[in-house]
Amino acid sequence: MAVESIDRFTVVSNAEQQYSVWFPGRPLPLGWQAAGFEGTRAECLAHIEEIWQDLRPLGLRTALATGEAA
Amino acid sequence: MTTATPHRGTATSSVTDAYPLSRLQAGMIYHAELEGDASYYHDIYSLRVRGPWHEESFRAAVAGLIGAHDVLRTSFELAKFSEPLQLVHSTVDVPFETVDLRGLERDAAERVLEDWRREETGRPFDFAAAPLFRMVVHRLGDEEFHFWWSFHHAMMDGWSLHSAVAELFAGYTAIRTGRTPDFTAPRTRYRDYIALELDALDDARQRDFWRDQLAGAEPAALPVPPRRTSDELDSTVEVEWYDIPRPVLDRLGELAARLRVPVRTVLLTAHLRVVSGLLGRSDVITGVVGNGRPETRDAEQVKGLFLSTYPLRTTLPRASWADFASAVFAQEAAILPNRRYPLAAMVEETGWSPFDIVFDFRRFRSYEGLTAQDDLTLDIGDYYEHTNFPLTSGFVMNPEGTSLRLQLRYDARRFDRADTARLSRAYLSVLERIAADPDACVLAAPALADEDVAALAVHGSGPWRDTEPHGVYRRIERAARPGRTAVRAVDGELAYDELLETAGRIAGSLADAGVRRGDPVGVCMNRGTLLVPALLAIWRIGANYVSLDPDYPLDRLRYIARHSGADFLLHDAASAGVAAELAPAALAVEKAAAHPRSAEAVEVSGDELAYTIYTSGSTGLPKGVEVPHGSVVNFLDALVERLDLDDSHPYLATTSISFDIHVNEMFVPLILGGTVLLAARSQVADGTALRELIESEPGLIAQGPPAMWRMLLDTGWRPKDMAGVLCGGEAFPRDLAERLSRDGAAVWNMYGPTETTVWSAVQRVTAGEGTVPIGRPIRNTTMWVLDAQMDPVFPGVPGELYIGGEGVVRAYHDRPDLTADRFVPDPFAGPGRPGARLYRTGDLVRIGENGTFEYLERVDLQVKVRGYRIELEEVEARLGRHPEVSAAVVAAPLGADGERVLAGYVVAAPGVDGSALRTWCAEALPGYMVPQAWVLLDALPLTPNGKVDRKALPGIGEAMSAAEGDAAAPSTDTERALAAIWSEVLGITGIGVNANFFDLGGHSLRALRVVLKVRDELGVELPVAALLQAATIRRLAALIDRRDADGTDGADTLVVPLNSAGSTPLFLFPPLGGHIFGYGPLARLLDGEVTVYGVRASGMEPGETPLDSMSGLADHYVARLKSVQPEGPYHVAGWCMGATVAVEVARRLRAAGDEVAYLGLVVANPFDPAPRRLLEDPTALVHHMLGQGTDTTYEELAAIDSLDEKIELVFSRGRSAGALRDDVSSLEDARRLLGVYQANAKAISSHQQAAYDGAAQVFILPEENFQPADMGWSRVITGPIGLHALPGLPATFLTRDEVGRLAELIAHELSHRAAR
Repeated sequence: MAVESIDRFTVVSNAEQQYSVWFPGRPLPLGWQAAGFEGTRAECLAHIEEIWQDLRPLGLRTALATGEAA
Repeated sequence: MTTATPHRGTATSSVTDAYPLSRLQAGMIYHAELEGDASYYHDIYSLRVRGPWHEESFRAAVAGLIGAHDVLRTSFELAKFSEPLQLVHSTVDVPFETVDLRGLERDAAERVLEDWRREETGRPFDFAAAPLFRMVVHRLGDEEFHFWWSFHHAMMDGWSLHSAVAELFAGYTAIRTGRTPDFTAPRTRYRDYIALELDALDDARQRDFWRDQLAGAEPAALPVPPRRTSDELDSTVEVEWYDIPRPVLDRLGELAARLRVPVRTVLLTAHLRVVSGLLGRSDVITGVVGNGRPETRDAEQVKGLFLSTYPLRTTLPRASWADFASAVFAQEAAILPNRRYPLAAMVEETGWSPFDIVFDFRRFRSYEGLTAQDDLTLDIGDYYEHTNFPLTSGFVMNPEGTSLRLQLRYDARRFDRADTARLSRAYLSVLERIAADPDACVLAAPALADEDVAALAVHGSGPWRDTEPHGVYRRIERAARPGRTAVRAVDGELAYDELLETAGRIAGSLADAGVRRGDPVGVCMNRGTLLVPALLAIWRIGANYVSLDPDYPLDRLRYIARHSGADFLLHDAASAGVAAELAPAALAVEKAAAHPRSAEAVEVSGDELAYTIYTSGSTGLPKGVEVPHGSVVNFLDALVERLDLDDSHPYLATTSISFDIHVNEMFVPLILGGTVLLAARSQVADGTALRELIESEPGLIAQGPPAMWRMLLDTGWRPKDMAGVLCGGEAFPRDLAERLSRDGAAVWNMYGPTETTVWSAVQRVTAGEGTVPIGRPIRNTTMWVLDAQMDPVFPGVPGELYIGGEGVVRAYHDRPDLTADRFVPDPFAGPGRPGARLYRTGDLVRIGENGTFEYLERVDLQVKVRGYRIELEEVEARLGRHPEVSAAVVAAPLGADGERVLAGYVVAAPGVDGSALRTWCAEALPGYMVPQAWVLLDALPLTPNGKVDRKALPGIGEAMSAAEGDAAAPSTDTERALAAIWSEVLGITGIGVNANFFDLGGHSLRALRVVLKVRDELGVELPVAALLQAATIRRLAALIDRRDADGTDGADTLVVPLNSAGSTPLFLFPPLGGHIFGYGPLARLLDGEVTVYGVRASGMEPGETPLDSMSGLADHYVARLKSVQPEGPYHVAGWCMGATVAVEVARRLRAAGDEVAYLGLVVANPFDPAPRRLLEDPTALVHHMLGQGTDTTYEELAAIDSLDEKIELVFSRGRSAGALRDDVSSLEDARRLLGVYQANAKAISSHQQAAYDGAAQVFILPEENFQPADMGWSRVITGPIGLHALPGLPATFLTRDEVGRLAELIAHELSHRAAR
C-alpha cells in the first residue's frame, strides 16, 4: 500500500506571512499556501524558526513602515 | 382453553458425550450468574405463521430436530468435574406446549402473547438440565399460530437458530403432508468446534499472533459515557435499519471486483473510518464478527454457538481508500488462520477488553428456505442476539447482492436516536466518498457527514459582530466621565479626569525617556492607585506592557525583562530595589505621575500589541503571549454583551497583572465609565479581609478561581448582594457552583486560555449535574473539538479543543516554532476569514448532551492549581538542575479539600529534604509554582518501556504505605476450606489469606467456580458478586462465617453500614437520643472513600434493654465494633453524647492493645452533654422528645403525675395531629425511645470525664460562639488536638447543605492517618 507516514507535515503560510504546518495531501485551508518545505512536525517547526523572522503580521509591518516614512 | 403438556418429564436419559465449554459459552454463563438476572443471554425467537396447525406433526418435527442436533440435548455441568463440561444426552423431553387462544378477541390474544413473552424473559434456565430451551405455540385461529422459541444464548447463535427454524418448519410440512422429513444429524459435531478452539488455545503461534496484534495498543473503549440508566429505558438494546442506496452499492461492488476483495472488506474499510471518528483517534481497534464453524463439508448444518468476534487493529493511513481496502484484506487474510483463538483468552492476557464497537457482515442463506414453505406463510418477528458490545454495525446483504442495509444495534444507555442518525449519515457519507473516488486519501475528509460538520460550526460559534477599530485606550477615554470615580484602591481614589491626567503625565515621562510606539514596557508595581494610570500611559503612546511582579524571584524577572526586550520599566517606591536590577531605564511612577509634560494619545490599530503575559512554559522557561488590541477590545465588548453590563456595578480587581484575567477586572468597568475596586494583595489572600471588601460594595461584580470562592464561603460569606460572581481559571466544581448560586446571585463560568485573550467562553451557571460545562463561545469566537488529524469528532467523543476568531493572539514572543506549532491554519474559516488561525488549547473536551462543551482533562502536562496555570515540566526542569537531585517529577493530585495540590516526587541524595527543595524552587519560580508537598522516593515508577509512569505515583498521603501481610496462612476451618478451593480453581498452592483473588489470575469464570464449589462443599449460597467484594480468603471466609452463624447475611442491626464500602471504616456513635439517622448525609458524602458504620443505641428495638452506665455502653459497643472489624487501627467519632462514648470506646480499644488511629469529637460539650433540664425533669423530656407539633404545653404535662400517662397524652395527640416522629408509630415505640434517652442521660450524667492521652480532631460551630472555643475538650484530651470550625448551627450542621466541610475534614484526616 502506498502509505505516507502520519508524521509528515508541510510548512504553510498566509497573507500575513504567519507560518504553521498542515497535512500533506489534504486541501489547504482557505488563505494558506504551501511554503515549499515538508518533513516531520519537528523538522517543519525548526525550518519555520529559521525563516519566520518577524512575528508581526505583514499588514501591521507595512502600515508602520509607511506611517513612519510619512 | 389450554391444552398443556407437562413442562418437563422424568425420562431416563444417558450421557452420550461430554466436552468442555467454549470460552464464549463459559463467559455467557458466568455473566448470567453474576447478574443474577434470568433475562441475561435469554433469547426469545418469535414467528407468526399463517397456515394449518397440526400438533402431532409439529411435535414429531420438534423431536426430529432435537434428535439431529447435539446442542439441543446439552446441559452444562459447571462444578462437578475438574473443569466445567457440557453433557450431551441421548434423549431429552420435549419442552413444548400449545396454548389455544382461538376463542379470544385479537387484542386480548395479542395481550396474552405479550404477557407470556414478558414472563418468559424472567423465567430462568437450569444449566444442569437439558435442554436449555422451551417452545410454545399460541394458536390464534384455525389457520394462524404463533411460534416461540425461548433459549439460552450459550446454546446457539443467530445463524444456527435461523437454520434450525427453517429445518423445523420444513420437517413439519413434510410430516403433515405425509412426506419423510429430512432430520439427518450432520457428521460434523459441535464438539469438533470445541476441539478446534482448544487447539487454538494450545497454539503458541496463535497466542503470539494476537499478542503482536495488540502490542502497545490502547483499549478502544467507546469514549462516550452512559447517559441513561436501564431503569429509564424500555429496552437497553435498540436496533435501527438504514438503506444504502443501490448506486453506491454498485460502485462499491465494482471497486471490490477491481481490488479482488469481497464487498465485505470495502464495508469494513469504511467502518474503520467511522470508528476512528467515534473513538477520536486514528489507531483503531474494532471487533469483527467471524465465523468459527469448522470447515468440513456439512458444517453449515451444525447448530451451536459458533459466534466469534476477533479484534482488528489498524492505523488509518495517509493512503487511498483503494490501497487501504487492500491492506485491510491482507490483514484479514493474516488473521484467518488465527481466528479461532478466543477473545476471552486475549482479554485474560492483556487484562483489558480491546473493543466496544463491532463490525458484522451477513448474507443470510438460511432464510431462503424459510420464506416459502408450501402452504405456510412465515412472518419473522424481532429477534436480537444479546451481546455485550455497546455498538454493532451490521451490514446485511441479500443473497443476490443487490440490496444492502445498515443495521445499528446499540446500547440505548450510551446512544440516542440523534446519535445513531448521525452515525448512519457518517457511514453513508464515507461509503459515498469511497464510491465516488476510491483513489482519494482516507484522511482527506472527516468521518462525520458534511451536514453534521456544518451543525458543529453553528453550535461552536459565538455571535458575529463588527469589531471596534480603536485600541483600548481610546475606548476608555471615550467612556470617561469627569468627577466619577474610576479607581479605588487601598491608598486612595482616582476620578476619571484624574486618571487620564495622570496617565498623560506618565506617558509624557515615558515618551521623554525614549519609549516608542510598539515598545514593551515593564511594570514592576504593587496594587495602588497608580497601577491603572501606569498601564493606560503605556497604551496612550502605543507601547505595550509586560508585568514584572515584584514578588517573583529575581532570576525569573531578569529572564522576562531580557526576553521581552523591555528596556524601560515603571516601578513604584516599594519596588525600586527590584527594578534597579532589571532594566537600564527604570522610571519611578510617582515621579512620572508628576511629569510636567503630557503625551498625546496615539491611534493604534487592532494588530498592535496591548500586553505580553508570561506563562509557565513546558521547556523549563516561561513563554510570552503577545496579545493585540483588537483581541482585547473584542473580549471587553463581548463580556459587556454577554453579562449585560453597564457602569452601575463596581468591579472588583483581585488578580495580579501577571495573569491576563486582570484585563477583565480593570478594563471592563473602565470602558463603561464604571469603577474599579482594586484589592491589595493582602486583601486577596485573607478570606475575612476579602469578605469585608466585597461586603462593603453592594452590587459588586467579582472574578476568581474556585479556590477564592471556596475560601470566601468558608468564612460564612454568601453572595447575597453581588451582581455577578465570575468563576474561572479551572474546572468549576458543581457543589461550589450550587453553593454560590443558592442566594440567587448570577454565577458565571468563564473559560479560556491566555492565547485566545482572557476568556473565550462565558456562560451563566444553571442547575445540572457534574462539572459545570465550559459554556458557549463569546462573540467572534469559534470552538471546535478535533482529533489528531484536526477532524471534528462525534458529539460526545473527547477531542482537543481548538479556538478560533478575534481572540486568537499574535504569537509567543520570539518563538516562531512554538507559535507555528500551537497556532495552526483554520480549515473551517469561510471565505470571510482567509488565512485565519486556530489555537490548539491542549484541553481535552467533549460536546455534552445539551450541546455544551465539557472540560475533561489536559492532553499534556499543564495543570491548574488554585487557578494558576502551571507546566509541570517547568517545575521539573528546575528540580532537575538541583545538584543532588537525580530524578524528579511533579504532579497535581487532588487534595482532600477538593483542591489540587502541587506535589514534587524526588529521588535525591540523603539529607535533601522538602524544605531544601522548596527553597531551591522558590529561588527561581513564582510562589504558585513551588510544590506544596514533597515525596522522596528511592526510584521513580517506570512504565514497561522505561518512561516515568505518572499514573503510578503514590498519592501524597499514601506515599509511605506498603503492601504487607499477603503471606499469612489460613487459620480457621473456613479459611482452610477456601484455600483448598482457591488452590484447585487457580492451580496454585500456598495462597495467603490476604492475597487478592484477581491478582492471582482469578477471572470471572474462576470466580463462578469458586462460588459453586463453596455451595457444594460448604453448603453456603454466595452470589458471584461476593467474590468481587470479598476478594481475599480472609474476607470471603468472614462473609461465609457470618452467613453460617445466623443464617442471614450477617447483618448486625446495631452496627449499620450507612454507605457502601470505602477503603477505611469509621464508626460513629449515637447522640443522646440513640439514633444514627443524623449521620446519613455525612455518610453519603464519604461514600466510596470511608465506610461509615453507625452504631445505634441498644434498647431501640423491641426486646432490647437500654444500657444506663457509660462503662456498660462502652463495653457493649466495643464488642459490636470488634464483630465488624476484628482488629485495629480503629477510627471512631461521635456527635453530642456520642463524642464521650467515642472517647470511652477508644480508651478500651487501646487498653486491649489495639490502635486507635482516629478519634473525632463533633460538636459536643464533654461537661454539659445535654440540657440539664431534660436530664432532671421527665416532663421536660417527654415534652421535648414527643411534644413537637402536638399543641401540648409543658404545664399540661407537668399536671399529670405518672410518666406513662404523660407519654400516652402526647402520643395520642401526636397521632391525631399527624405529628408523630418518623420513628414512633406505637405507644410502645414512644416508651422505648424515652427509655433509651433516659438510660443514655443517666449514663452520661453519672460519667466522670477522665484524661485521654491520644490525639483527637475536635469540631466546633463558631456561630455558637462557645467559650472556651474547644468546648472544654483540652481538659479531657491530653494528646494533640486539631480544632476545626464547621459552618452551621446545632440543628443544621449535619444536614446535607452544611455537612460538606465536616466530611472533607474527616476524609482528609483519615487519608493522612491511613498513610502513616
